[in-house]
Amino acid sequence: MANLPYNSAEGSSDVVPESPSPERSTPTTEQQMSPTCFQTSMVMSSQETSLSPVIPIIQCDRSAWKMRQNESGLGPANLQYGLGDGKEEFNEHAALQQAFNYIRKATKKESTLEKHLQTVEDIAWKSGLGPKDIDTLLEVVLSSPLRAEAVKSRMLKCLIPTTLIPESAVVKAFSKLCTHNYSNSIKIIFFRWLIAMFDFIDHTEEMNSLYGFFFSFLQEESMSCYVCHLLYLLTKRENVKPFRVRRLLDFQSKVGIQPHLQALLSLYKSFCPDLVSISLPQKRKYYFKNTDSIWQTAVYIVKQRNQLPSLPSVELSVGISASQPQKRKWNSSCIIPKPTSSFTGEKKQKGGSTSLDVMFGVRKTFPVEQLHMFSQLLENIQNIQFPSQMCSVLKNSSLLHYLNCVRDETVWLRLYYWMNQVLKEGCTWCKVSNYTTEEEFKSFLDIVGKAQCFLQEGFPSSEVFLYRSLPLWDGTSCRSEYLQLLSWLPLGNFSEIRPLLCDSLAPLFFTSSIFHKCSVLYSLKQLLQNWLLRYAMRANVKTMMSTSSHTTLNVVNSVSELISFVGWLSTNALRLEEHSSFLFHFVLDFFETVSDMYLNYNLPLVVIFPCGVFYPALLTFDSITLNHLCYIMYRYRVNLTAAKENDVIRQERQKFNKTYQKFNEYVTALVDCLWTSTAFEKDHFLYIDPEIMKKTKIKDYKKSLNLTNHPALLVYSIYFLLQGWPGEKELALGTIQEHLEDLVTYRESLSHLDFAQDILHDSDKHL
Amino acid sequence: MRVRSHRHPGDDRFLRLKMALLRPLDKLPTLDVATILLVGAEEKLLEQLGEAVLREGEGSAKVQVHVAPGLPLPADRECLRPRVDLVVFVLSLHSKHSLRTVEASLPQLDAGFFLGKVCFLASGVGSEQKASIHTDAVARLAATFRSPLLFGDLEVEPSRLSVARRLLRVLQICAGHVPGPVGPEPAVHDEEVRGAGPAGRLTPRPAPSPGRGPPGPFCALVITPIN
Repeated sequence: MANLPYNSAEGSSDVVPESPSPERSTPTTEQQMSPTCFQTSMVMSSQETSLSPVIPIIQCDRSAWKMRQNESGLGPANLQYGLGDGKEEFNEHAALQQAFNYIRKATKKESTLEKHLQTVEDIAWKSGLGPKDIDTLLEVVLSSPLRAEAVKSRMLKCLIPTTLIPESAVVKAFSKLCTHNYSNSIKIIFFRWLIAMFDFIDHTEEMNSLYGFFFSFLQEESMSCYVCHLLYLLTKRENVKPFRVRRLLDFQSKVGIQPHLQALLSLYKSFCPDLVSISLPQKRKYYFKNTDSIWQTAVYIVKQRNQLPSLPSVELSVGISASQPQKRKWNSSCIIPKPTSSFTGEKKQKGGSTSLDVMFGVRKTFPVEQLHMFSQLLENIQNIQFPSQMCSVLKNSSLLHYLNCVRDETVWLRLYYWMNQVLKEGCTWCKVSNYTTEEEFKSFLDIVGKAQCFLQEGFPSSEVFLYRSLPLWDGTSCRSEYLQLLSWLPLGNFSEIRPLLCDSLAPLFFTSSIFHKCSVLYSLKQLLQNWLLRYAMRANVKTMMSTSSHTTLNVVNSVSELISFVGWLSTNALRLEEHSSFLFHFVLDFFETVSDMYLNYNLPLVVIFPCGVFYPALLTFDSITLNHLCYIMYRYRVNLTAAKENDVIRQERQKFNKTYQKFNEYVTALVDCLWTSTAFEKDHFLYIDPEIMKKTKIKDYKKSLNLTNHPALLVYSIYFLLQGWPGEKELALGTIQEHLEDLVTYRESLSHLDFAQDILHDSDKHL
Repeated sequence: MRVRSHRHPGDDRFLRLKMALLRPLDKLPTLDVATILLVGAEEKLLEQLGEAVLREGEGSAKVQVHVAPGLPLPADRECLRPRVDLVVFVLSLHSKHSLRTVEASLPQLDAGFFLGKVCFLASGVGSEQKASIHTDAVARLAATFRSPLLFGDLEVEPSRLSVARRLLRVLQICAGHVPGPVGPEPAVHDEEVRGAGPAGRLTPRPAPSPGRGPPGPFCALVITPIN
């Protein structure tokens, strides 16, 4: 375009200020976090705005504007370019071809060359170069007879695509780069361009096959950081080979510990932890200098053009990846991508490569992306390979099934290693991290919890994380998901878990709200259930082995200690919360599980609940609590009678005597209270000196807690009277007991309390 | 209700002799009022926390918050001061100075307070780069004095509110408005574990200690009578 209005005199300077202005290098990384805090300038012509109408015009930043001006001479929104129609594009295309042809043949710098260079730059910055044009330009630049590096580097810098970059162009250019003799600066610019535009390359399989060649560039120290970055983006699992690891380590010993080398090594370690045995520091925020200011604006423009989200959206990103495989960034740790096959053998099976496949007996692998149903898993179970990103297994239930049956330990190592890292880095209270918000971590913990629930087994990484982070927990962040992790602690010695529970959980428990208390009790109930299930499964498997008695003893000890711990917690919690029925529900739920331990899970243990739970539940105002209590007593009775037959329990008579005694006490109290109305008499549990009772001036207190007068059951009594004698104006509660023949209907009306009836009947027989 | 702060007098040894130790039971309690004393080196954090406690405490019994940069408290205001129900030592893990202030203030507190009226609060556990005190050191301090240790980030608003709520729960128990937990730890079957006790893991004890281990801090809260 010869009639460029802003033909700046200094347009030919090739030294592009590399200024990552200090206020931009940090927002760069934040830029990748949220599209809204984008701060660099962006200047668009109206043509661009017509392509993507929702782009806001953002304020110009001086340095970026100046830089662009230096390069392309294009100023702010230029209205002269008008509303484009096909003619203009055709003009552009022709101009481009003309320019390319000229540059191809040019041997020295002159003004026409300068004009053509300017043309190319303008077009590139304005609307980008199509895939074919990029191909041509790369070819032109790299095979140009010009000696001057400046022109080449300038051309390389304006390789801005419209939408996509064809992989073939990149491969061709790279092969030229390897074979011909170019200066290091050209190579560096090429690599930087590749890194910046990596997302726009349509396929990367061929590039991946050239991995070794890319790797060989590592030896040059000047280029090593760019090459490392590129390799970081390009690496797949099968690229990690021992000799490459060795070479990396040698290089590191030569040049010292560099962040980019560490980055690549940690990526290798995440793929194959068995190959990389050195210890690496924790993930740092900045591995690679993200300051390719040359293409920063251009990248943004192209992304807008493609209408792709300009960043992998970090807010709600778990599990959903865009159609292209995402650039693996260090800050996407909490994002779990969709599983992508590591081995893309599908594409290669055309023509020539089949013979090779047959030779090596390469089996046809089932692509993991298509694995959605269990039936597919069953059909293809021989042909599944785990995806490159092990973490994507966590969301796919079929892959989780497969994980369960695979025997390869390294698979688990990979998963645990990754999980360890993410849990450690992402924990919002142990480490204030700028790149994980609480919501992300919460959803991540939720996924881990669900995966554990699915596999019915806890991950050791989550156990380690729990031990490390519970002492520092403030009790509110990610509460329900975090407590979910608590219920998957493995069954072991209680003395190991005791410091965790007593020192860290108990203080938080006592100082928290009632809802927190209930959540903790719920997760402790789940913990108990998981332990009991584990024991029951193990007992089924090892019925013949002689060591079972020892392990049973361990289990019995751990479980009984857990139950007494929870009993202590509940007693105190009930006092603190003034016997709220909401809390009672959770407490009694726990003890319901405990009461049925013997019959349901075959564990030779019976533990009775503490008095601090029984008596308040008996003297409660709430009928649901009373009902629950009676049900638990009924289950205890069934279990205790059955347990008398058990050998183990018979042998340990002394230990269990106390339990039986306590139970008898409770039953006596219950019956005294509800049935025989003798609770207030001498030697019974509610005995109060009659003198004192006289002072209270309550008449007829003896019967005040029985089945008809109990505060919790008063409602039902009144209902019964109203139903039975609807016309009467005055009803006396005492009349209920007189209507003995109506007691049957009364019992029926309390049908949901029939457990109480059963137990009262049975205990009636015993007394 | 304003947050009252006490100025720390100079290093006058003579003056210090005149100052009384803070005692838990030397004054009569006021009906339906609970007083919390926040001690720590960082004034801004304390003020913010104090305001958060006041805000959260609205609705329940009247809560008074006193703030001091260190103990002992100046003697001239002694008669105007209400009875302190709970003393909270606020430390920041970023500054050694706060730890030293707390350590210097601890001997100035009467031993009766340590039966459940003292709490330690450590702020700033998240930013590891700025940490100059290890969490273990703070945990050991809390364990030596048999008092609970809470962690929370006092600079962030939601975290501050949750810490304030927690402190209010403890305050309610200390002031006697809510019956506190009583009862010793559950019986332990293991002989060795019994010796250590629930909170005093680090203090070695002779193995066959009589009865069950010493009750933990939350088990020994003294229920102070209202009248």
